[in-house]
Amino acid sequence: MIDPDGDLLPAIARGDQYAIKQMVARKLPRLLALATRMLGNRGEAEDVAQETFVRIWKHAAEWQPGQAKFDTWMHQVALNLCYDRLRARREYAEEDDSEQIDPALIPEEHLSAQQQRDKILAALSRLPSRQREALILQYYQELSNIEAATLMGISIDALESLLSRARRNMRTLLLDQGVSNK
Amino acid sequence: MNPEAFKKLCATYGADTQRWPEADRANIGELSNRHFAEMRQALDAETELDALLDAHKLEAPSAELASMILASAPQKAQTKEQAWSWWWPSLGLAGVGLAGVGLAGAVAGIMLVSLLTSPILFSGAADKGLSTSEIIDFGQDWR
Repeated sequence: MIDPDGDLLPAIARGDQYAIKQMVARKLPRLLALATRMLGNRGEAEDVAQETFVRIWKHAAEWQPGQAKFDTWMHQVALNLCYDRLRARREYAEEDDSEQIDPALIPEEHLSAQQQRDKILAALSRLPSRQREALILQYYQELSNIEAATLMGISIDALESLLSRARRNMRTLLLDQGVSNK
Repeated sequence: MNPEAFKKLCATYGADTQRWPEADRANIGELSNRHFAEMRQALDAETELDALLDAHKLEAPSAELASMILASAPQKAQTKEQAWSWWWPSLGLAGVGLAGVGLAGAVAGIMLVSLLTSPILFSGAADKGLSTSEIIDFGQDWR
């Protein structure tokens, strides 16, 4: 397994500033996007990104090539930090058996780009937590179904079930409520 | 693959088949010869939702956040040259006083110290009013 980030970690452990800067350039936007969509709150997402980097710096020297892909490990760290915050808010459930959600968004005919983004983030926040997680990992983070299922600790079939329910619910929350891209 | 399986994949992964599992993508070609219209309909049904999901762009990380993260990173281990820089100024000044080598020698010593101890990186970049792009290039491939 070739890990595209593997070469940076020994250099980071030595305090190589170029490698450190490269890692931040590659991963900060990705981490911030993951946490923002998981938590629906930019400030909290920034805290999660910072904390994840502290762990990256700490573990760089101990990184064992070939055992796990660095990007997958980093996602697991960030997701765990997000879970902690969602649990504190009582918004996270390990089991997710909810089928349909109640759409309560107010339809608006003409939305600005910012309003549209806010609506999409609000709709994501209203998804049951496991559906939201599956959609974010597969769609926005562009992880493979195997990587996403591994991170979530579920089978591919279970991931696909969560994904199709997540998309169905997003359709209800957005398209059926008049939020469109036109 | 049959048309039902194709519809299920559309409803699961969306209309962009590049997001589908590789094994499933490989089977699309054969199916499209026989069920093109049905496949088109299934893809169209997911295209608008995909466009909405894609419209959710996020702001770039702030310069302040990038600076804080960079400042928390491991610092470069002190090199031999940097360690020597501690006593170079004394040596340079001592040279002036004791041997009367002259001001030029002291200046040269100080310049050398300056070269050896130049700041390494970005801590405090936000305080200097630098933008994120001046600190770090996040490229275009994030959202």
